[in-house]
Amino acid sequence: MSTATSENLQVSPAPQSPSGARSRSPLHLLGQAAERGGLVLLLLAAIVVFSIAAPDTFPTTANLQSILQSNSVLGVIAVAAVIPFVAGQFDLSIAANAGFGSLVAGALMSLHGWALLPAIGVAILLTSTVGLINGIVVARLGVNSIITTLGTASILAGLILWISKGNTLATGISPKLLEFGSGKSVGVPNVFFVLLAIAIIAGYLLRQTPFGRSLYAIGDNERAATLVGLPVGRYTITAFVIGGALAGCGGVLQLAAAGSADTQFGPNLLLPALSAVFLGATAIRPGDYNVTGTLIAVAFNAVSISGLLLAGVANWVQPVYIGVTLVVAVAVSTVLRKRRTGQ
Amino acid sequence: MNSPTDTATAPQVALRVGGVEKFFGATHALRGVSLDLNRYEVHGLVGENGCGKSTLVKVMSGVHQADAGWIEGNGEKLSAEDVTTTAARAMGVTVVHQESPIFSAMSVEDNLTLGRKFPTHLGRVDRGAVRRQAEEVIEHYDIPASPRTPASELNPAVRAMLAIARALRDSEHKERGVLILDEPTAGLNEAEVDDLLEAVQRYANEGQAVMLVSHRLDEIVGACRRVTVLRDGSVVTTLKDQEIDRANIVRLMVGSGLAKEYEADTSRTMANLDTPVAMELTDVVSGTLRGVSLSAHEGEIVGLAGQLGAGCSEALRVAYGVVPFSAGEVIVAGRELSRGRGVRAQADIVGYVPGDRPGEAMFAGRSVRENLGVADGNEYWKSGIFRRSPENRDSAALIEKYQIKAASPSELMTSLSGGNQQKVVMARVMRRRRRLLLLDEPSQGVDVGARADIHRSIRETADDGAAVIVVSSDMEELVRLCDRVSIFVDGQIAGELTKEGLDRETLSNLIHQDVPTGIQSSSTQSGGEE
Repeated sequence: MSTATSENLQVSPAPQSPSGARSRSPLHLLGQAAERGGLVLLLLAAIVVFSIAAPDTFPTTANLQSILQSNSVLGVIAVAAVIPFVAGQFDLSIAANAGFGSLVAGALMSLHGWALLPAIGVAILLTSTVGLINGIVVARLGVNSIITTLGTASILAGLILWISKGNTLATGISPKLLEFGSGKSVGVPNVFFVLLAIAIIAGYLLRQTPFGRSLYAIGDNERAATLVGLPVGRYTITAFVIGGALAGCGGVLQLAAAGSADTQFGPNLLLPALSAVFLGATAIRPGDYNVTGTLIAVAFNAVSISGLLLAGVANWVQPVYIGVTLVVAVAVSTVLRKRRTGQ
Repeated sequence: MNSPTDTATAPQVALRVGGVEKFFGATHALRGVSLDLNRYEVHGLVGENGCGKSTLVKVMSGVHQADAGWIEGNGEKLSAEDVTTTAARAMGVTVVHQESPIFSAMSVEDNLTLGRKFPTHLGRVDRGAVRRQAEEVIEHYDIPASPRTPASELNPAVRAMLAIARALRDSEHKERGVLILDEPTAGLNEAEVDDLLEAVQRYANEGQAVMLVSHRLDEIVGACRRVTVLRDGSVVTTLKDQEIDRANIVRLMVGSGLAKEYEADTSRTMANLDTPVAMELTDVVSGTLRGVSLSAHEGEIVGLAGQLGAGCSEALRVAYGVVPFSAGEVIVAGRELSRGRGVRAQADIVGYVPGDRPGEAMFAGRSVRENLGVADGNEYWKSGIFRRSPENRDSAALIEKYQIKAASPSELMTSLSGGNQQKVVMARVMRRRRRLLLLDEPSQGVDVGARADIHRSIRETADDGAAVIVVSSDMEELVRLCDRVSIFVDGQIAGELTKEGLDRETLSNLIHQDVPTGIQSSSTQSGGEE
């Protein structure tokens, strides 16, 4: 076993009531509903507040489109990170892997003149392979996932520099891809539809398949999962591979949206993605890493940043604001549950 | 100051609890609980799972604040709402839990020094002073261990004594406090229980008021001068001296009428079984096991008795494929288990319940439903969708059948009491037909009533054609449940008792043959309770 799995950092699924509790008071149910929906309420509140603070710029179609356009990639990476988290493992290389995918696809087209589809295919294949390697090192060799993926992230950063020679690759990218990436359908940015599709696939895998259910069990108690006969190693590896594949999709999406492959894009998204995953675990299904909660968290952060910007707040306030909401939200949800259960 | 002899006539109350009420949401956990703990006495607290024992202990120690009532001790009377851990300590209350942290990797002296300041000399830890302090404590509490022994080498009874000594030493009321022991004997065998209870009696003689919380009625009967019985959050009664007997306590715990059935003996004579052999170990060598041969026919329940570390748990783990074996042959359900073949190949036909529930058997953060169905996910997965309503229905049926106290199938596993968690684990393993059941402490932490239900279900499974192997540190359980019992001593089988010769005393004597008591290695033992 690793010395520190994501379980240690997980918002602990707190006990609910002493045994024998057969009835639930309305207050209890209300508390539970508030907990599940707290983040949604917070999101709505942020929308209202910023609409009042910046009435001419914030609540506009253009701003909504811009928010969706510029946060869909982050959303994909956050969703990709959820899957290894459910299995009780960190994947700190997830954003670097997305950057790697973006750069590989870009380089194949830009430097080697590949066609669009093969370039995308190879990029996603490579990011999945990175996931496979992470998974094998963690599940078969038993190396702590934080350490493994931290190492992988560093290796990927090196590979990105090697491939790109430090340059941003902007020429020779398939125009079809760029057109898709900046285009809209029925007024909604195309990239957002990709995010939705990926979120639905990930949500389906986690909630509607025996694989997903087993993953939650593995994340809760790996030893017990082994002893009831679940294929713990294989599923853990699969979780990393799916995470890697989705990160690759995120990378290609970034290439489409930005029109170029940038060496810095991946690493910059790691902390926002992880913070959305943690924040998301306080909502919808409190205590569980879940896709819907994660998306709401991404939306909340995106709306807040956009709102702060448009309300004319200084730059440095944004990261402080994001950090404070993360810690406060997780703390409040922990305290609420403790109070409700008396444990 | 009174001496122990005076108190026989006039008991000296050390802690008085009156009219304590406690609610958790809509649950009325404690209903007007009152009791007195006297100095120089061991006072038992018994009741079924979920009757409020743990809540009461938490209120008395200030972990939970009650909603009404009062607690009086050390000349102070406080409203029970105001009893914090600090206040409880000031009243002299010290609690030692079953899982009091003894750090296996550290020595006895370091374990005793932890939690207070390490004595230093010129900024470095003064090992000499640590040792001297530890020696004092060891001598004072008469612990059979030396300061430098690693805690991993102590037997569980000595570990428990160490935990108690550490707790008492830190209390300001070393001699005349209130010592609450919460299930101190869980996972201990009879000799170890005797050792521990002897030590507890000694603390009482020195002036402590001891409250012993336990599921094991025999030790309650043997050790206590008073016994308070809780049922559904209320005190049924407090029994004194000769009123204390097993049948009496059981009757009071479960309410009238039901008691007789609960004490039923389900074991039977299985002479000349001609059913197929479901499991056969031949000369198996592995870790603690030194050439063990053991077999079980379909339809019979075989018990394994032995001290912790004697190899009982290990035999189950070898048969399930969890630990590899270095020599010998293992045949399970007609197939030979290769040395490298793991659990996965077995899980469909063999059910295994590990002894270490929190570590190996349950998913604390998942719901009861998921815990019940964790191995059966495919059953509810039809045309690409999880069918929740049949799963909920089946979970509710299992909750009903095994009398699991849970508000709903979606209640989290952590919010159940230990006994109810164990019922969930048992239900998970027994819900499907298996050819072999390997059960390590199947009824740990489970109260008398539910224990009988579990025993009945095990018997039904056997009657259905499964072979069952049970490891238990509770001799009473083996006698009531098993058709025959193999005795393990030091990694080998030292004998077998069939139904005719099976009784607690014989079993107890056999498992202790040729093994010195006191310190012995338990580090090789795996899967046992801590």
